[in-house]
Amino acid sequence: MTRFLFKRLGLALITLVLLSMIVFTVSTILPGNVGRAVLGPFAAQESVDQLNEQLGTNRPVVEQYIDWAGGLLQGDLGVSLTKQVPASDLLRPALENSLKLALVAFLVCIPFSILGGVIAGLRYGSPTDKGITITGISLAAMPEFVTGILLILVFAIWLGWLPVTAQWDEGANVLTQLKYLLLPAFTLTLVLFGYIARITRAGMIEALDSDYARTAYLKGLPSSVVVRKHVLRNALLPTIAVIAVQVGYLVGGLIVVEVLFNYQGIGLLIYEAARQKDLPLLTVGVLVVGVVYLVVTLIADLLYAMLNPRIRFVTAE
Amino acid sequence: MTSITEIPPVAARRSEASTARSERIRLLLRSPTVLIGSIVVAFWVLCALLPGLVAPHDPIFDNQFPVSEKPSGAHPFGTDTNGRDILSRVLAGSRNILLIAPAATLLGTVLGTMLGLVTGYLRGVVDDVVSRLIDAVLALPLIVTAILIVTAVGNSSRWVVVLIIGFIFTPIIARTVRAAVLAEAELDYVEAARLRGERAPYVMFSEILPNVMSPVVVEFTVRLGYAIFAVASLTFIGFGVSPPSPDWAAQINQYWTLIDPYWWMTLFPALAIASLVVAVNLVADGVREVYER
Repeated sequence: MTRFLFKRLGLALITLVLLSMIVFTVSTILPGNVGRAVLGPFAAQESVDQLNEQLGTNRPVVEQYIDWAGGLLQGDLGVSLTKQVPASDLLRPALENSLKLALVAFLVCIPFSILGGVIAGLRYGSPTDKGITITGISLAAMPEFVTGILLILVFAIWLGWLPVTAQWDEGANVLTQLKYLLLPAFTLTLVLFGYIARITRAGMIEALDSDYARTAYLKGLPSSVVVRKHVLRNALLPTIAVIAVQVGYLVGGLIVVEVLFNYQGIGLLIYEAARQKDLPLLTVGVLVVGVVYLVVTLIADLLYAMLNPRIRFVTAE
Repeated sequence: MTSITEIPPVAARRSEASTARSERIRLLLRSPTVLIGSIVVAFWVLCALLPGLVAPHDPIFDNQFPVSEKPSGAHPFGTDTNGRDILSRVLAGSRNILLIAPAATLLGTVLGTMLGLVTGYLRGVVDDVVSRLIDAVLALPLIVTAILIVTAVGNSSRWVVVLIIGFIFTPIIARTVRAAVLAEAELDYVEAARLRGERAPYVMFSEILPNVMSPVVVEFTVRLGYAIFAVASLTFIGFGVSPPSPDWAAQINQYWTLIDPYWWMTLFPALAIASLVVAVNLVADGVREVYER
């Protein structure tokens, strides 16, 4: 288990370094001239040169990367071009807000989708199963802004139950915040439902068809006990892996949902940095998204290995 | 021992492959969800190819009708703030997405299949390095990478979007193809070709590739759904194409802040996207079921 842990940690670190190189390359080398890219084609050459001097983007690329990466390691995430404040001051509250939204989304989503998958798996091939599966496929493929707009129309405009945006007044209590978070969280939830339900369903079908499930039935256990004690535990393993992958997806979805609901999270921050051509903030924001994904998948991998003895022992040999 | 004469001639093997294909198509058409999906996709393709045929009014010229009218008998989907018939704009709005998404998916499938073949067959250092790079690229959600590249390049024309999505799909598809190639490379026919002295490119593209076509076809249809998702989302947040011609996501981008009270300007393009996305995924799901049995 320790070896497995170190191997996964090492791989994650290598991936992280490569990721930082890719992100840096795209944002610094691809524009050709960073100052020109930020200021646009009509800016005077003088101000372009001045900005390049200020950003240090007139130096050799390798030197720039080492400088940037070294800064990151010491906790210096750079300075936002348009807002002129340290990027970390903008990123921290944004990450907190996004985390809040993601948490509500997951809390709403996971019980529903696992329940949906379990029911579909238990009634494999029935109209109920087909209904759940087709709904799942359709929802999973729907862009968030489409589901979001339909939800806004129904719940905010026609029924008037929930607010249109996700911006509450300063100092609002938890209940009010929750009310504002419900619609964006529900939008994210609908997209995730299909994925998680589908994998749970596949896991259920496989586990129900297994020898140990048959043995449990044949030795006369009531089916509720077989499902609870034998089938569910095995069926939910792949679900954990999928939920972790969805976290990465969730961050992508956050951009669109946060723009749609005007919610001050990391997605909206990246979006605004891109709109304003604030390349230093954009670069570090994107990297943070990648780091979040790597950390979550690492945790999920370890959790999965701890729960699944086959992986634990195979890799330990 | 098997004598040479017992090996079926090439022509017989070909016809075997084509029976398998027609069997798959028969199975596909028998599924009602695939059939419904195909009809909806075909409808939107037709609208994209022949915009003048189905749209009752001109979708582009301003001030043909009173502005911002609610849906009525004359304009079932209402009119927009520029006095255009929204039904006509919705019917003409599939073009961009149906051009960009398949082109990007095709690019990603071709590049990804090649990359998957090379890494899966050659293994070794090339495979290790490429696999780590793939991991790194996949750590970012597609839309985040796309926003970063569009901002850096300072251009989001049609072909830039195709290139971006195609390149991002490449590692995802390569990973699937690589897994299939790893399984194939163990088989006797590959060993036989190698012993015959065939070169690596021949073994990869003429021997292995035909045998990994199933996962490639499945990947293509599944990715097509994602490509539509991505193109629409990028256009909605203003990082995709913003053409003068009508486009569903661009319409929503333009009008969704007016959703109260002008809900019809946003609702109908949104429903159009929903119908296309669901249809493509119903077909993709059917294809996957038929090919993975």
